[in-house]
Amino acid sequence: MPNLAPLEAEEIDLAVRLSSEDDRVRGVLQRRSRTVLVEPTALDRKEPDDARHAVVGIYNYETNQSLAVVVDLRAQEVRAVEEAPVQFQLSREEKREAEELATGDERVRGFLQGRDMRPLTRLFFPATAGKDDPPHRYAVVFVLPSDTERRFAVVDLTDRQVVDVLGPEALTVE
Amino acid sequence: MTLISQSNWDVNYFISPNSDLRLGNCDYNGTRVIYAASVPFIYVNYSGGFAFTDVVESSSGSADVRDIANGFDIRAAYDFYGSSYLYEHIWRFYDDGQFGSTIIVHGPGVDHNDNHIYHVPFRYDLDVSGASGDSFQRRFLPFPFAPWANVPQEGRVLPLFPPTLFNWRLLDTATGKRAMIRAREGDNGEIWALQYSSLEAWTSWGGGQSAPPGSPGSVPAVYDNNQSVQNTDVVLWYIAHIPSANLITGCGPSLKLLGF
Repeated sequence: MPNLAPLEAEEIDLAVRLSSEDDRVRGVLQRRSRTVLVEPTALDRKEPDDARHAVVGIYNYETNQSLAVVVDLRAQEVRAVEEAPVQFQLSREEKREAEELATGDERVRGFLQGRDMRPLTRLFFPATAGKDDPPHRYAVVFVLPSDTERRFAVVDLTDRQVVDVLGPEALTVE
Repeated sequence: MTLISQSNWDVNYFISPNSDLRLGNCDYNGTRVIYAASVPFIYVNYSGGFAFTDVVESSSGSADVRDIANGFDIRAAYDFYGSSYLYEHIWRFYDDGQFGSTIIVHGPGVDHNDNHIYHVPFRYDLDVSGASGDSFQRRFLPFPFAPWANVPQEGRVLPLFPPTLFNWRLLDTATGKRAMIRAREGDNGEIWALQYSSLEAWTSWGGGQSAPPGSPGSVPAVYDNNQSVQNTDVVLWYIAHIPSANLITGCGPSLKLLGF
């Protein structure tokens, strides 16, 4: 049975380092990109019981491409590099970046009036996401200074800017 | 990874702070049945075209195991976004081979006036033959005879009959071992059968797309290459599409093992 237990911190560091040293990945990392996922995985169905692999998900903001890099943590080798036809969820770093951008936005500051933002941040899919070629990657920062007040800061993570700040009515407009 | 051996099951599960509750290998009566299973994310779609994904993460990183009549539950709360966006996840196993996974959507989310839909994908990498020899079948017309028919290729299969019937099954034709699958009433459920691929497995950690799960161009359609789902390794994605009208609601398929 493959070892799919959560990765230890040193395993995560090793997986990120080994993936970054691979020739197929190095070119992507030289562009604007980011590691957004590191999790345990199995290389395939027929691996030995003591196998230990990690999948490293890398997002390239310039091309809107996701890479899945599978690292053998025992042999300390990259075993596979494939383009993934999905967007991985936001990394903690991306959430933090989105919230920092929202904090700096005048509309958000005006709404908060000095109150704590209490942000909740998700991967977002705006209706206009397809306007760019290649499409951009977005986050939405829920700005929740109280239990009854909310705004939604739409952050373009590709261009690193807040592109909209919406009220609750935006969610229910037909 | 934690192992529970109880009620004829050997269930491996894992959870950690900021992860979901996932199953690893699970055996029933000593035979491998589940290779892996999870709910990778939840896609929330508001009527204004405002769509996002909720990650399924437990802040405590722990799950409760609860004894019930003829079986047991494993339960976790996905509370990463706080009380207004709470989900619970329950895996249930009975000693007669029935099992299933339910997501309870507590909501209300941003709005409690039925303005959004939860699209919840359940990924099941089953293994009823133990040797890459599973075949996916569906119940077919005419009713009420509803014979089983092979589904030759990957793709989406909607239930033809009321969801309370077992509309789908994964079968090992050599032994007759099978996993019967039914949707939950109200799920508007659909199932996708895929031939196992490493890439799909690697990216099952929350990889999504801009359209709701089940839509063209989204998961799991992006993994559909018209490959055979007969006598091979099959991965099933069951997708529930549930409105928020019920305030608190649950979704997820039920499965029943036969021939083990």
